[in-house]
Amino acid sequence: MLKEFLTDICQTQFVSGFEHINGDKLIKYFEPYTDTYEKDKVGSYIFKAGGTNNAKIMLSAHIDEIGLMITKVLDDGFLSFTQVGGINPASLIAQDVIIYGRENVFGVIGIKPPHVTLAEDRDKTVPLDELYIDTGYPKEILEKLVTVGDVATVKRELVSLQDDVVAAKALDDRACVAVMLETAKELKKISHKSNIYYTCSAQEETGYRGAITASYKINPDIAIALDVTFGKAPEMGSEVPQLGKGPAVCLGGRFNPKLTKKFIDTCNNYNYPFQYEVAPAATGTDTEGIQINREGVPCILLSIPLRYMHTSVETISLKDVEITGRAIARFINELDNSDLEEILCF
Amino acid sequence: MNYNSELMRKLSDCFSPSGRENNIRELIINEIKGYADEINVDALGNLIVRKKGNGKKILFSAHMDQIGLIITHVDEKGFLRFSNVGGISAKEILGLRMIFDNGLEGVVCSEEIKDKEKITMNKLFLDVASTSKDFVKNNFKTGDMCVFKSEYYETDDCVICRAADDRIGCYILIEALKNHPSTDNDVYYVFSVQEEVGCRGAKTAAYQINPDLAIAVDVTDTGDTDNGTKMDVKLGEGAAIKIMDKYIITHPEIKNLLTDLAIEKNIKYQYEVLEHGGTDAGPIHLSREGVPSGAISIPTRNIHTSGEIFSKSDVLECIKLVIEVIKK
Repeated sequence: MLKEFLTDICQTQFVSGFEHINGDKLIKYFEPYTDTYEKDKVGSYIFKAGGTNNAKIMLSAHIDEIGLMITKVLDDGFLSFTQVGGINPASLIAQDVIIYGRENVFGVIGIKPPHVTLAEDRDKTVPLDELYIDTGYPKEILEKLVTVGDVATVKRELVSLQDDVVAAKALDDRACVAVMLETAKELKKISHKSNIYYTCSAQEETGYRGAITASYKINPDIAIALDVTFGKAPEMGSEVPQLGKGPAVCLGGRFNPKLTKKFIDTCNNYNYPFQYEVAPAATGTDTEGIQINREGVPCILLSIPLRYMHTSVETISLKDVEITGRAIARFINELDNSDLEEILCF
Repeated sequence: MNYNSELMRKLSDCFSPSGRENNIRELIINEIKGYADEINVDALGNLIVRKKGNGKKILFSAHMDQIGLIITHVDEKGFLRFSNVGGISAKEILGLRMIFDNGLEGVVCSEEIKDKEKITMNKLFLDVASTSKDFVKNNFKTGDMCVFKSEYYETDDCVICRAADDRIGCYILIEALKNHPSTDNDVYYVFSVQEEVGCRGAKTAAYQINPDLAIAVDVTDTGDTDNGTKMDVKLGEGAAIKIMDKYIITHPEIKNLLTDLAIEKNIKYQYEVLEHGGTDAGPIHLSREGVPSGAISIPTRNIHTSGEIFSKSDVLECIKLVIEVIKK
């Protein structure tokens, strides 16, 4: 079920700012476990599971993904493009892409052959403005199909590696949309008193914009931001979290210390594995937009370890998604049975 | 409708860097008096002009402020040290004439620099052309601002002037207001402050007005030269409908609204994808629960210099498009 959801949702395009095109796809997945939903004015989808008390808990995982935007239709069927969100141009070379124009147009991104690349240039990354999408179409036809401002993504289906490890594009942050779905399923079983808002936030990759407006709208008592973090791989530092060892709990000024401790206690009590990561300043996640909204929102941030972030082979362990989803459900259950006001009091 | 050179000349000549918008605000109020139902100035200094209606609340925003320099220190020798107000690069201002609100002038000079590429603000100073310490002391002090000295100039089809960013946006809104069509919509023309230092005025104006949709009217770059910015916007090719910049991805409904109106009413338009910079639409669209927003841009060359260049026919197309949005 989890894998089917990710297979379906990861190959669907949700480039930042264009979430509305396929957003309704989320409804069938969340509807069985939630009561109502709203599409907001920036593109976020907010699914609400009503409770019996007045507490409002916001979960936020961004549905948008990084992508490409066409800036010019060139002669001979080539397209210039820019990035939507942060992309390393090296990750685009030799990839298939789909341009979402008047119809879906396939293309590839190539580079000059090594034979004609100067020796001193071979080790250098080709900058984005020297890369082109090749569609094969002549300009006259391409102009009818593709307009400046259309978006494109790398074409990639989810690949199952060994055990429960999968690779796909856009697991940043669909892995955490899957976490929310797991939490929603669990909470439906064990029931909850507080009102839960599962927010598939828009435009995180261009500045957590959806989280800003969604948290204003929801006006929650607390928020649980969910995102991916760097996973352990060769050439990465020794401090980064490992795949399969549970969520990384983020420590730093953005996060409410007592709420964070409560989550850690819950994990310890119920034997859910977890790891730590530290963010002394910015996290680059929805937390940035939520924490300082209106009168302020106490937040925690949980992250799924992910390798090769912002490429089309983002790699995670499904085990981490399941563990995190369940741990959050148990955490909410614990909050429901405690005095939230006391936890939030400094 | 014709292009009104006199009005644009007045707007461009008006001294009003960010945070010092008094002059331009007075000028615009005098210009639009008699055309508005309500004229208000908010806590930050935004000029909010309303044409009342019972329909949708539409916010248009053009910023009144311009980039400039601010004096940080008057040194013992009578030279003025300064910092930038808004996006001015130290590399591009050496030798330029600057003018203060009181009409006094100075020239941007530098200490000796071998490598002009490595020029920084703290190596530059203003020479105000006086050997009298008293003259300097009596006329200049820390916190004073100055702007480019530059005369308005035009040909048959184009204009060179300072602060086209965004006085041409103000011009467009003034003309739209003077030709305000009959409509149910509740229209707010916002002449915003402090855009050049972070779109500050638009943020609070949007919060106060809480509109149903919003359109910023501001300048954008062009891709007119062979080795310049790679973008598809050309001077003289009509109103630019913004698709994306660093602060906003235009709401799909707004993009479609503007495109459909342009096609239906035969208004010349082009799409704009700007890889740097942003406009008032950025903070406006994130106000409260979010506001579907976009921007109508005037293609402009040499933005943030003393000689910004735009096409008169593009301006007229932008006015037409603004008026069609008001009617819709």
